[in-house]
Amino acid sequence: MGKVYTVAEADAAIVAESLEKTYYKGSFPRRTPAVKALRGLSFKVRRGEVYGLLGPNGAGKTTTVKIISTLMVPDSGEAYVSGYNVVSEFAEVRKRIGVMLSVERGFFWKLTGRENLRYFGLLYGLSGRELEERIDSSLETVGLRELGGGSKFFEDMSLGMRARLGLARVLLRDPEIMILDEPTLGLDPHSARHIRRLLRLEARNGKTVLVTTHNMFEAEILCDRVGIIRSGRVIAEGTPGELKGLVSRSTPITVLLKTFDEPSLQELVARLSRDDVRVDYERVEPGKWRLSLLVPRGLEDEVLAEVYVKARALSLKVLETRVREVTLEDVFIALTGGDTGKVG
Amino acid sequence: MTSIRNIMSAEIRAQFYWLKNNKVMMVMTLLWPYLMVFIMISFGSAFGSLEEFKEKMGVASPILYLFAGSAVATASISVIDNAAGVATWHRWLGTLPYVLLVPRRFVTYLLVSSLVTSLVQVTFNLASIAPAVVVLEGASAGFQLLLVLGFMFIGTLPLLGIALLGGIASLLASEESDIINFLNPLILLLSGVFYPVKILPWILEQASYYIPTKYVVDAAKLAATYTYPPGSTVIIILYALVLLAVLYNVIGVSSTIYAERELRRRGVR
Ligand SMILES: Nc1ncnc2c1ncn2[C@@H]1O[C@H](COP(=O)(O)OP(=O)(O)OP(=O)(O)O)[C@@H](O)[C@H]1O
Ligand SMILES: [Mg+2]
Repeated sequence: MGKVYTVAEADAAIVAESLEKTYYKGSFPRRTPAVKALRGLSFKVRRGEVYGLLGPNGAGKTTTVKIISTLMVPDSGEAYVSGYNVVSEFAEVRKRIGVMLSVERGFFWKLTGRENLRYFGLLYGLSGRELEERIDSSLETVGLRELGGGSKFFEDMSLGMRARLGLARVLLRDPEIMILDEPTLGLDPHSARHIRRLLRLEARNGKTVLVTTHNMFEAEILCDRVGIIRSGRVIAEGTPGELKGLVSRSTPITVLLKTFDEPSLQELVARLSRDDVRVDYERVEPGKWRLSLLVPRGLEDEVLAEVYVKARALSLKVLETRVREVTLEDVFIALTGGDTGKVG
Repeated sequence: MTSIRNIMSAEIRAQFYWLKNNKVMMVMTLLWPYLMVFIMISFGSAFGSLEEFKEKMGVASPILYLFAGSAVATASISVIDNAAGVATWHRWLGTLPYVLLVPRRFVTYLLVSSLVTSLVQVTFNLASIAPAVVVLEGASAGFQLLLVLGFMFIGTLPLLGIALLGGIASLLASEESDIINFLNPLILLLSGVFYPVKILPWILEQASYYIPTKYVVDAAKLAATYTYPPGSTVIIILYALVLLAVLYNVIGVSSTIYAERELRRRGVR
């Protein structure tokens, strides 16, 4: 049976404790350790909340999701879902979760949405009238009914419809806990917003949602609490507000620059970076760049002056400077050292 | 926990939808045993006339044997393809994780799913040949064909064990290598469906005794020779099939249980 709870864990839907996982490469006789994907990852998800694992590419999000959903066994550490151990009591865990691992795959191409859901519904233990009713209500909930997704082949569906069908499968069994790996990856803003609204609604109806994303904006507006993961560890955890508090002694500044000379821009970034000033840059449009600086409170004017002088020295034209509100992205950059995961 | 009945129902429906949505493929499946008949006739003509073929294969009704043997050959291929292919097929589709999330052991799902799809395929293969047999040889030949179907059902069980092994090997090799495609020609080669196994080199002839399809081919030969096959021979064939079924399934199931653990260690993709 499940483990003995401590009071603090009684309301925990998911507990992960010091998970470690190394991937190997090569085939059977000569397998060598390749990547240490998780290095002591811990987090806790409370019942009825939307918890976001936020991290750059390769941080270990998918690995974590697979362990929590019993699809992978960790090398060490433990994880519990509703108090059941994901390794030794995997059947109990599977009865309580709905999982979505990818948006564009995971269904039979030549079967319609409804036929696909019927197949998986039967496999997940539903049948007869109940099955048909669950299919209807799931299709309705994700909005596939009005889009005719029930009678469309999976191969003919847009990415947005596929994501909805994936969610419909998650909802089929009416699971206590929903586990979703980047459910909005590749979706247009409209579809992504639809998915997020749905997840919030499910959480309001009492479901627990564990979702991964590398999208700061999404984490901020979707999640009750966020765990920022990097290189296989949770390096910060809290509500978006609490996380923003972590950089409350810093001010984010945005600088718009005009140049076609990227090396000079990189040089500027290098010259502006200091122990207490983090700098990151990104192209806005051809010849137009945005620098994001995180500056200690009180030093704003000094740093801004420095930006003008050093930019001029490199013949870069400053178009605009702006002192902003802190966003989760600033926290992310502050904690992960400029590695926003936007590239790569 | 998901019941066995649910798994069976899911697989039968999926197969039905699959055929319904792929009509060309369905027609091809129906025609396939006839294609095999032509292959066998071509092989057979290497022996000379139909009379000589009859002599060499030791059957009384060469036409019935040609058709029944072809159906057995195609059925045998179908079983290996379906059963060994289930796992790799799911991996290619990206459905493997969702199938593993069924609250049952993976081996249970694989066994039930491949048994169902195999039996449907076998029935399909033999049924598609039935009209030709009845037209050419009469209604009683249709009855003989039913007998062969019965044997093929039993022959499916040991084939499943082999298929399980092949499927698991493909999955664990985690290359896009297809071990299944190697199994089928090997089984056909040793089954003696195209020629008597006696013409094979000694070592291959010995190996053929471990091939379930060989016994079903023997049964097809019996059916093409006697209206009421001698009981002792039938018993020997049944005995061999059951023995092989136990042998291969013990190996197949235990390696699948191992594979499930290995798969979860590596992470299901
Ligand atoms: N099957 C595998 N074999 C070897 N290395 C792997 C395997 N799966 C993942 N990795 C590596 O493990 C690390 C963590 O991968 P994981 O997929 O968990 O990251 P992620 O946070 O989901 O990244 P992404 O945003 O790209 O999806 C990465 O460096 C990745 O390259
Ligand atoms: Mg991932």
